[in-house]
Amino acid sequence: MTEPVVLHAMRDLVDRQIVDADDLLAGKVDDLLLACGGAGPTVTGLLVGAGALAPRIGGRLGAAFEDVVRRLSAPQWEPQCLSPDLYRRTQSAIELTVPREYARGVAPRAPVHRNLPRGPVEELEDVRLSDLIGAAVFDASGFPVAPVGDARLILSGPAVDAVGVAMAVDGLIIGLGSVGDRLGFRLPHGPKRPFMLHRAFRSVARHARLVRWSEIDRLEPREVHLRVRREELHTLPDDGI
Amino acid sequence: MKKSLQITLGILTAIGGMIDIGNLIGNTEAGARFGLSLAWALVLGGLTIVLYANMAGRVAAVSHRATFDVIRERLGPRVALVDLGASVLLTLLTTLAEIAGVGLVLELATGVTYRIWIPLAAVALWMILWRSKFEHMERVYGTAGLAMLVLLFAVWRLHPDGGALTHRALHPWRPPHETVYAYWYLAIAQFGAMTTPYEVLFFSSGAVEERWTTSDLNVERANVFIGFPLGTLLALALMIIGAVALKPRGIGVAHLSQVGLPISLSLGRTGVWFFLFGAFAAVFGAAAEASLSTAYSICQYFGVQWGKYVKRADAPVFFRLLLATIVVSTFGALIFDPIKVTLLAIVLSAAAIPLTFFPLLVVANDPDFVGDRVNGRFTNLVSVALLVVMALMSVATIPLLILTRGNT
Repeated sequence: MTEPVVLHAMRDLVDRQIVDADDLLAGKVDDLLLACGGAGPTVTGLLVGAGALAPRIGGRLGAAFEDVVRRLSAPQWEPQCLSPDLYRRTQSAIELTVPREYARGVAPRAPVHRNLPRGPVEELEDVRLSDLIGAAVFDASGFPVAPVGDARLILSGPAVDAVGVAMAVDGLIIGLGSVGDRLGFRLPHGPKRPFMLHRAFRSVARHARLVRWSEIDRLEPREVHLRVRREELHTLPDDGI
Repeated sequence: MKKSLQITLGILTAIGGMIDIGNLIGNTEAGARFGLSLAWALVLGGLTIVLYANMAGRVAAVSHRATFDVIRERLGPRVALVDLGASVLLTLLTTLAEIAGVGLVLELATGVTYRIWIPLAAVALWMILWRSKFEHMERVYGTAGLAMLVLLFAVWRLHPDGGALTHRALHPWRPPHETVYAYWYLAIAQFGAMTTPYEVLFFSSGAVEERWTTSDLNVERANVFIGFPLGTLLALALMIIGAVALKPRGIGVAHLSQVGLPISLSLGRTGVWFFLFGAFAAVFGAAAEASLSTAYSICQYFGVQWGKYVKRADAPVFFRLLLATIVVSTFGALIFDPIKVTLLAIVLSAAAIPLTFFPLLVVANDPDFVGDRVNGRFTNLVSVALLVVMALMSVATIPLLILTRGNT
């Protein structure tokens, strides 16, 4: 049986540069739009724009950032949503299949202000990745586990150079290990040096855990409640791409 | 000839970054107060910038990614925003100081107050950044900045006692009337003046502007290993000039004219004109570097098109930011004392650099970014040790700034 193609959303997609068909820069991936339903959420688009970035910064800094950037980019404040048929992922960037002006014309805008998702996961509709990242996780007995650091995505096609590849959220990666993961230290082909940093981040990364989507009971604003106990959580596989 | 012109990016970056108005004042002042007792901080800063600029240039040449693009991707938007805020504040302060510095050089040359020159310098800066090609700008100012080699000639003509200077450099000493806080404050200032973040931001963005690829890595190395050591040598020459010509006479450095004084004593009018020409090119180049770096870093954080390698119509946000940087800095230069601002900027540089350099160290070891051209073991060992030193300086900067009341 072939191994599924796996991406970690924060490590491999979010904050990546977007380049258009004419090799011009077209923004960064500021967030992911996820559609819930069925077995779990799927990625329906990449959100691009300061309106999607501001909530990810959070706190007073995020509020100040939102205030300044909103004034400066008023007409383009609401983020655009790039559907999977408009881009392909490369090793270091996201490539649009069309010129950026065309993408701006066809990509719908996503609302900036909305309520954070709440309720049983079966009843959720749209979720953004930023609703989940950093959220506190509580196990079935209400015990706090660790914050969400990343999301594990399963792809229905190649990880690079393919257009229209569907991506489904397999689960959430929790714990501080996601910091080293984001820096690339957990990747089999990632940086091996400086030795001390590699060792430190690998060591921390061992404590990362994977919560399958089916193990999530419900979401509250900035909280994820599980239907399993923390002892039952899985260790994170060595996902490489 | 073409080959020799290819290293002008490194020379512009190094002379603009290391012989800007901050160094002209800061290095000479350190020499005038402490002799060569702070030479170690300057050399340490030079070594640091060589290592990290080399990483930034290599990452840019192989992956075509500039520094702030990498910082946000690896550190996330929140930490990167803090870094961006610190970097933009510093590059704005530096642009302010350099625009005023151009005015100070012209004041020294003409006797007309520097405030008159500031708006003219700002308009000239904008016209050049708006109209000229990156390559032309880099070659003109990189080559003209070489006139600062006059500093080495001035040191030679001052007939310093090499043995005594070497002894003082190897056995740092604090004059009794100076406090220990002042010593460490100026040590951080020397280090910060050599390692201003905009040098790395400009060098890596310049590598993308120049469309360097893996096949240009030799040019990249030549830029780093010729340009930055040359800048360090010239900064050391400023410190020696301060130590040999100003310290024995008890002259402090509060104005650019005090830097020109020893050159006048040793080389006469011709030397002074060479110095003024070189200083003009270096300071104007630094103003261009710092203002471009402000616009580069903001655009790279948001992923919007930046640079002079595309048509101006394709990068409207970049040019608006560039204009805003020059306008804000020009008003600042007319209001604030440029010497105080420049000394503050170089000290704060030391506090801000770890956040910029840490992600560079990580990606310079990441095969996804640099293929098989990852750092060697020795480079990593020294770079990590220097990062620890930078982190300690970063922690100490603000308390020392308060204790010394900004070097008074």
